[in-house]
Amino acid sequence: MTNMVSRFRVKKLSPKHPLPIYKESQLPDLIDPANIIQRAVPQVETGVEKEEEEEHDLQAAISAAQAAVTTGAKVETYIPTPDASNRIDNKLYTQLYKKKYKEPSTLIRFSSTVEESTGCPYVMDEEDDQFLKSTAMALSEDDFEKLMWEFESIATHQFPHLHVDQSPIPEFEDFLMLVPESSIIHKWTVASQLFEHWRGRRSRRAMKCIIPTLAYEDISKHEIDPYVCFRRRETKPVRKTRRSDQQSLERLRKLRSEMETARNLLEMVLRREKLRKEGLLMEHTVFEKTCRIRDQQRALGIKEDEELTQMLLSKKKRKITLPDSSAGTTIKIPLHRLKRDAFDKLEKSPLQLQIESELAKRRERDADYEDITENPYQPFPRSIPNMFFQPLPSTSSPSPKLRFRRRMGRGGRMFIDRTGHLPPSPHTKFAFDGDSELDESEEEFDMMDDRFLHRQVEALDENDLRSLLTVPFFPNMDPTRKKKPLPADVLLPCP
Amino acid sequence: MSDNAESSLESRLTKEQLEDMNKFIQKPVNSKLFVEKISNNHPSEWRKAEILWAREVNDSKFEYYVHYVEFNKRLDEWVPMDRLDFTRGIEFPKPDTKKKKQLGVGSTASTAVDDDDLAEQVVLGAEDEDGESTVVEQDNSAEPTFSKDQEIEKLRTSGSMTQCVSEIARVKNLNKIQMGQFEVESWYFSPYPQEYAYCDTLYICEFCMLYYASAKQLERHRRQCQLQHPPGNEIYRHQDISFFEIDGRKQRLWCRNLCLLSKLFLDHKTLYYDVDPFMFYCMTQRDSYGCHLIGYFSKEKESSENYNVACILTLPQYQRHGFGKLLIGFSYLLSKTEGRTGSPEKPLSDLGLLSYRAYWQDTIVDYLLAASADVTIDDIALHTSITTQDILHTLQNIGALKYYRGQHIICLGDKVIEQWERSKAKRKRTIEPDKLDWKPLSASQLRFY
Repeated sequence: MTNMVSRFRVKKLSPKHPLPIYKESQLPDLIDPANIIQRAVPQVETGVEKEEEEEHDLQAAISAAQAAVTTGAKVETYIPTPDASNRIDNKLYTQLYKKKYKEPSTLIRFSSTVEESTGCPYVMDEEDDQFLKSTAMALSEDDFEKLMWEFESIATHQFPHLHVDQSPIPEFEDFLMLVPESSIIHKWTVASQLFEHWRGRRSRRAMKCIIPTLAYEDISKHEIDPYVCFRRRETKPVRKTRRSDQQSLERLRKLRSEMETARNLLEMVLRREKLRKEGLLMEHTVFEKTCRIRDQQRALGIKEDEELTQMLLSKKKRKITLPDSSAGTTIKIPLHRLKRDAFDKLEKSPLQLQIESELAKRRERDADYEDITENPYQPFPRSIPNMFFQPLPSTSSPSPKLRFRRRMGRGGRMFIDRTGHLPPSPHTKFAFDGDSELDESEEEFDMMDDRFLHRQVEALDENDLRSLLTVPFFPNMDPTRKKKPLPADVLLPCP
Repeated sequence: MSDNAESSLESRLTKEQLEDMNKFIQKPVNSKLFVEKISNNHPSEWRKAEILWAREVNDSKFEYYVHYVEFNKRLDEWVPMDRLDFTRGIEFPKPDTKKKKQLGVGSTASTAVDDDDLAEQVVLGAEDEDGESTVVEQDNSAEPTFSKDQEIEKLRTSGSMTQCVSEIARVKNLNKIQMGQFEVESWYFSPYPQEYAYCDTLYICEFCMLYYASAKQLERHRRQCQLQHPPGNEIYRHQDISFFEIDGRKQRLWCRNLCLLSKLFLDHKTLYYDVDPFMFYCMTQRDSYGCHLIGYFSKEKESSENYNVACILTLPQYQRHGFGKLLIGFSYLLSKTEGRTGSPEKPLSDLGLLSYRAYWQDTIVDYLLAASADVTIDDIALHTSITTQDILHTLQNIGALKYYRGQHIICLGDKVIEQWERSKAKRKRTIEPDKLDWKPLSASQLRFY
């Protein structure tokens, strides 16, 4: 055994392992020590209960099946079963079952229950048959059954524990009191006779229903009666976590509100269409009346009312547009028409009117003002004359050439620039202080000269240059520079 | 038995045997002796049998309900006394001190007598409708117990049914049924109302499955019964075979009736719980009278163990015509439409096992012979919806798994192929997958089931 194992080490067979298929005839050199394969695949369990597995017939059948694949023995053994080959007389069968089935061409869709497809649940048996034949009751079998069923159902309904406490069934008169008005028992005079028969049968059955019923579970009794069947199962409630609970609740709520909204919308549409229709009719009537008035006015020679004609005209216009929009029962509204209508008819609330009038007044007031609120960050440009140097009106005396101008500097600072101020004569006590500057003549130079600009630009570093790009250059802003008196006629307007 | 026969019998027995016989008559139940089994197709033979019950017929004549040891319960029957062989000795039951012990249902006679520990009464076999096995503990003190003597006494005097609770379910309670055109003997106990038990014939309406003890009642019912086919949607039709899908929750009465009927022929089935969680797929054969039920299988709406069949049955009057294979094939077609594999619920009955094995063998060999390249077990499972375990077992059974030149191969023996050819020749009907009009239950639908 052991050397076999070592020689033929079998790999475990996995379901994903591709297996080539051969017929036995193709492999003449196949060696098959049977036990090798047994180890690769677990032993076969039949799935039959242990005791049953050992039964003779089953074992015989299994062996026969085995033999068929190994030796080819054609032994077909069947497990013997009790007889089922008898048939009833065909005449009897055709009495009970009728040949009236027509097969529909499509697959059958059927959902009625047995209760719906059979008639009265009570059926007569031989005892009932004998009784009916023996008495002279003019009662058909169908009615017999219907009445018996009525008795049974009323009794089960009114006295559900009859068979437990075995109390006797009341007399017919008392029983009648429990019978509802609509019951057929009232219609039959023979009911009382039949009642006696029913009562008798019931008492002989120890107060149980005449037609035996299945023994369902009686929860009070913990019985192990093999006749008890079809117990109700306690359904395991679906494990709902709180979240899924909430989710489903939310979903339901949303669904409900959405459906309500939809319903409301539809209702409103309905109302609107109705109102439109009414409106249309009204307008029609009004138009007619106006026409008539106009005609009458004409007839009577009264001066035509301006208003009237206006109304007619405008109404006419409206009349053309309206029928289109309220045609039929469509909910679709041409939107552009709606907008137009809306603007024409739009009622402005008093508050809105007030606001509008306010705005109009404002606009009037601001009419000769330039609205520069769009560029709030730019300082308001000065009017041109103010940008030039002007003599102060009050002090026109000191020096005829003194001129000032007001200027808004960086950061909103106010500056006053002065021109025309001659410094005191250079020939004063400091005249000989050896400042070579004194000998210099005043030169006029144009700060805007390219040379100057060039020099200034060179002196500044990049950051400053960049910042200068948008800010206008004021030469006087540089505090380090010596103030050179500017000639009066150099006017640098502020931008 | 006439007096002459009796005396002749007695004269043939030795004194000992006569003593035994008398002892037997006093307490027949659970004794074992040889009984003559008569059958239509084979010569009668003497088999060892255990007496399960005794009843008196026509005063002072006895009949005994025998179970043939190591044979299936369905062969149990009532035999008159003259079929008992008193010449070959009687095995009396061991006198058990715990006389009140009740014996288990579903266990064979040989084990029941000796096993005093079988205090549990297994009311259900494992092949339940609900897939669970419920073992009911029996409280011996509280149960009304009957000693064997008392049982016989009761039978002798009143013929009442108040026997040990467990013993009742071991004995068939119906003799035969008349269903449609057929008269069928029952195989096992079924919980039809107790009043119907032991009656000679139970009349069953072929279409609505309602049951009556009197022919008149059936006649009256048939006048009003409007059903001509199972009360559900037809999901498959090919030639004269149709399948109807019935929901246990919607057609409770019909499904219950069907279960009661099928319990007569299924030992392990139990009707402990109700039919709600099952769908019933009923196969019918159509003619001018309607769609006659041939067989059915029930299927859990949601199976925790991937069972695609709970109970499966071909009615005995239609057995051995190849309908079983159609039922099984259809169950696998449904599994394939669902996109999964499936296996029948265990335990299988003996007939079930043979049918399934034959089907598996046929289907798998079919597929293998048609395959052009290497296959994996998964390929076979994908194509047939048979579980890999069942496939492996089948291949093992037919000896197809071999090891050749260092690798696993499938080798189909000549005999296997011969058998397949024979089976194919016999096959008159097949299931056509494109004739199925069915969609599996969706998850949201299942939530409300």
